[in-house]
Amino acid sequence: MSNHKVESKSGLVTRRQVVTGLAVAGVASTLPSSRLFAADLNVDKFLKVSALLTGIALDKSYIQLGNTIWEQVTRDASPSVLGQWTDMINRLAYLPSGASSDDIKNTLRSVGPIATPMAMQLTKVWYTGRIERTPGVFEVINYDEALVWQACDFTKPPVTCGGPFGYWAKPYLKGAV
Amino acid sequence: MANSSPKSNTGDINADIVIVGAGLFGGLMAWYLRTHLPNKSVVLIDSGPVVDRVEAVKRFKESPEKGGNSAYKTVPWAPIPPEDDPAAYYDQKDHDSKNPLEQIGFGALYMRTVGGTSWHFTGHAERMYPNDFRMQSAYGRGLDWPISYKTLEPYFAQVEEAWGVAGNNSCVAPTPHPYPLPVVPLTYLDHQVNKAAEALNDSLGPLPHCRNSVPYDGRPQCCGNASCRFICPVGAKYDGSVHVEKAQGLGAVLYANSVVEKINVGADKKVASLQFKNYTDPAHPVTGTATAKLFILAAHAIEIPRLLLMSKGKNTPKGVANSSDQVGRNLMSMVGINSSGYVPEPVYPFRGPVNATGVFRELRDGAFRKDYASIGTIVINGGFNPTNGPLNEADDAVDDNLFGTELRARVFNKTASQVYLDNSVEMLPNSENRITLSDEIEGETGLPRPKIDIRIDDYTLDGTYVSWKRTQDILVQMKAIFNGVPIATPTRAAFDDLVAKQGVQAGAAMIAGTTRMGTDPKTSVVNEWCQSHDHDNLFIAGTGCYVTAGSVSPSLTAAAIGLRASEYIATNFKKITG
Repeated sequence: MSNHKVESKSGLVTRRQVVTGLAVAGVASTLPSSRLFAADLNVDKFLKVSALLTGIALDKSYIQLGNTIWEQVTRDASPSVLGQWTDMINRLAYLPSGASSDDIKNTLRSVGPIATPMAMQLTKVWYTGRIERTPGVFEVINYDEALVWQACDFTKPPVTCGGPFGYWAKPYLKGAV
Repeated sequence: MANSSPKSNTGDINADIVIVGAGLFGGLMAWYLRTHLPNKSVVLIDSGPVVDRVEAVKRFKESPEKGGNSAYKTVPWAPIPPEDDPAAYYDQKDHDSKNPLEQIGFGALYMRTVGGTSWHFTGHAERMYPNDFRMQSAYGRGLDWPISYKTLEPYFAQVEEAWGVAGNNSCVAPTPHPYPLPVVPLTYLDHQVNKAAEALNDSLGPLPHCRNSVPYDGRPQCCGNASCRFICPVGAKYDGSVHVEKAQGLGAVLYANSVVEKINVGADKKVASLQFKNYTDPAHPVTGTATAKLFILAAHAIEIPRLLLMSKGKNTPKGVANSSDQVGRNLMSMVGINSSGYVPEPVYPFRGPVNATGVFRELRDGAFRKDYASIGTIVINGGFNPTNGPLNEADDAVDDNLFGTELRARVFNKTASQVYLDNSVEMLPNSENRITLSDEIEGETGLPRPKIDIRIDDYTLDGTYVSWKRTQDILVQMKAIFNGVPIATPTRAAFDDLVAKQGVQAGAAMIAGTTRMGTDPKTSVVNEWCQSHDHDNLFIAGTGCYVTAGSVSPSLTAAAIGLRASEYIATNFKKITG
């Protein structure tokens, strides 16, 4: 990760700290309205495809987060690239829920060369709640709702109460704390 | 909500006792002195801000790195070594050296906030071992302290009561003794590692913790937020702000955001005053003078020697408290090379108090210390990365072109099978390991940055090898793999290759020795009461007083030494101050 030192009025800070500060401020600000779903794509379809890619069911309680993620992954997309995003979602939506990784990859290949990287980015953002704008520089979208905490349901997002005191001494049991 | 209310911008300060540093030791000493000298005014001065826990948790969540310092606001007038690049603050030549006998990277971290570094310390509340105080007598290594474990025993107990230390006689500790709170149990992961340890004639036991196993002192019970190495969102883990606030409740006055720049010493060799700059209004910092009858420096083992060395004057040509030329010397930390791997069955890290609940019993103390250094090996409950570890596994799995249920299963299995073993190895005092003043000036304050020069000797390097061998052996026993291949049986040749490739780094947890304690004013900075040999109204608290360091978490012993010094001050205040 790049970590160039930057001299500022306030003394020595790392480049990453500067970038991070700006990035978080950017996420907190009002999101652009130009990336609403296109006419032939809606949030339900987006959630269905997101569930397919991530292997985790996403009900309507994810509408808000789904909108935010769509806005973030397409923030800098040109109209042409936005069209490819829409095309990818629409094509994947034909797959049955629970489709295998290979079925998903085959469909992505049939959409076009940038469909796979787009799907990978979307899946990462859902799983991690963060987006990598440039290599090694991340912005946080929503840490607590990152799907990794559902995938790893033996734990919880840090700074979240994990359970009654001492729960950690017991073996993890599916469905228990 | 702010958890304490410091005084606002001000000019001069006058008090009976001025304490520089409102952290783990300064706060505790202020509380003790206000309790036992209720007619004496006490002022705490800290260079950093008061930490707002709610804001800190928010900042932590918004931080992509989620490192040790991520939850805390770093202010330009109180710079600290960044976790990802300590050399951005420390001026250290050859910090990336691959020859540890010539130089090691110094990565020890600290914070400059009210409450200090304890906001993100591990919460391991260990006593040092009796032989840690008598290394020369016991093992012919290092030096003996002027005080013993026995001397400190009642003060250890007082600190354990004040902090609320949880433990029992199954804890890995030098002596059996009562603890105020019930033990913090080992994790499931600890138990799995213990099986491997027992097969290798070792074992794990619980650490004593200053995190509440039951509600205590107005703070709640720990509920395993898995973030205590970074910030405890509920205050179940003790931190230095607790006793800063208690001291304030007893009438001590706190001045935050106030950087002490110089100590002035009179012709009578007594400290007369401190010069400081208050940055409450950063655009218009106010210069002030703090006068007092007695001064205590409790601002950590880097910033204290830095301040003492910056304070050259007519009556202190080598700096304050430095007639011996020992200020800044004998810098000690702990070093280590850690071990990590994926084991075949899930062991479920990331549950409970991260950092660690379990520690290896062997190699803390024993005859082996004639030959190589003491070793503390703990099981990190937070896998390879306690906060972003699961996220990184997800990124890796997607990069491997997995989607859907296969992706989910991969993320679960890899995250659940991470084992990370952390080694901390003792360093002995060496007068050439030191902090001095850099020629480089820190931007906002115009003060010199700390310059670091540090290396290890064969004693510590051999200990580092033994510690690495032990943790690699454990992973071999657990049939762990890393980078897709089984962990190899460790050899000295493999260790030497590893060191040649990556060097050895000083870890985050220990900074000690830079204002060391002793009976001889020619070879030490303070006496057994933490009182400067040169200036009898100046006391220096904290790990800087350490003569040797051992391998246990340093805070509890330094707090016990600080309480003992406080008792001495309270008993002898009139005699000391005339």
